[in-house]
Amino acid sequence: MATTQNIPNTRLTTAQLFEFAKTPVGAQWALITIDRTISGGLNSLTIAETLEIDIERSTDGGGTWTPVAGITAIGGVLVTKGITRATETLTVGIPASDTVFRINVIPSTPVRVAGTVDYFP
Amino acid sequence: MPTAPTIVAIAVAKTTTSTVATPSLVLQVGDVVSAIAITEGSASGAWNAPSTTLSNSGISTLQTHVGGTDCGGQAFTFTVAAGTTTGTVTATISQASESLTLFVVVCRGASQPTASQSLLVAGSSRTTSYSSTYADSVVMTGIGDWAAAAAQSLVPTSSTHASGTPGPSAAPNSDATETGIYTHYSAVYDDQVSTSPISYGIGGTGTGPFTIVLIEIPAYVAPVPPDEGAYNDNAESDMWSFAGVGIGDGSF
Repeated sequence: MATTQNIPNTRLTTAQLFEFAKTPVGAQWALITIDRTISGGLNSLTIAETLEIDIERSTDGGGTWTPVAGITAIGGVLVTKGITRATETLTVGIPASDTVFRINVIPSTPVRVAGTVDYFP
Repeated sequence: MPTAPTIVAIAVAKTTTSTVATPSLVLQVGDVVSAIAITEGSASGAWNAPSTTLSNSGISTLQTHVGGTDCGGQAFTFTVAAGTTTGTVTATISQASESLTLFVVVCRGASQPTASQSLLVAGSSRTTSYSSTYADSVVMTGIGDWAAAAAQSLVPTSSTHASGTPGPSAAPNSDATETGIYTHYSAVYDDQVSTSPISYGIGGTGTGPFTIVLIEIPAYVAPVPPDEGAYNDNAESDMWSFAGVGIGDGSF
């Protein structure tokens, strides 16, 4: 069963770090989900505007941080085959039970961000 | 610095019937097989467990993503074990008539990847920046564009392999297929020298959505033997053990 931590609905005008609690014992994957559809979120932007999301992890309780992966989400209402894109997701593996993750979210323009981090066994 | 794995086999297999298998691969014990499967994502069929006719100590699923509003993706890996070293690798999705592409890379002198050496992205991002956990790893990517847009260039582009220069190295294989339903890409990069973030994906414009699956295949690192010096720590005691015969106690 997954354990979920929230990325609180936050208005970003500049880069911001969100740090999460230590991953639960036995968790192998962390799934980061960003909701595009919140009021003032990615869907409210233009296609030229972006939101960069970079994940870092620490295995020493936050003493040192190592980059893991990142994406650059595009703004706007994105419709493909009649389906409006609702989320941006990124799944990474968890190397050890004492792993702590944080995400650095960098908007190209003020935007609201909200989502979840789910840990799966 | 470890020696980068040697890529000994690459296979790309495609189907429209929900099960896809590679041609027969002739391998050796210890070869690390890594695979990425991408579906057209016409429906949300769940992935079945991958399989192989090669002897192995267990197939490890690294990533799984069910499609339906984007392309599905799966990454898995195993190490060839003693026994049957010639065989096929198969991926299957529980959805009839689903187009499916399987990309397999076999490395020698490699360590089997773990989940933390993989990632899966689904959304509007055309690329993902990934930091290899070890220098000199092989990196492979499989990408699906649900919009079936015209094929774009791969990122990073091929370049002359230079083991002494950090950054992307040669791409021994790349494949871009537009089926009218989805566009699939596969790429493998030998010897990613640097552990700094490198951007992997596709170029061009368009909003997808894209499913990007990445596996890092590290170089083989031999286990460190136990410290035999510990057995010498009692040399003095050993001498004293001979004291009963007049050695070591100065009683000559």
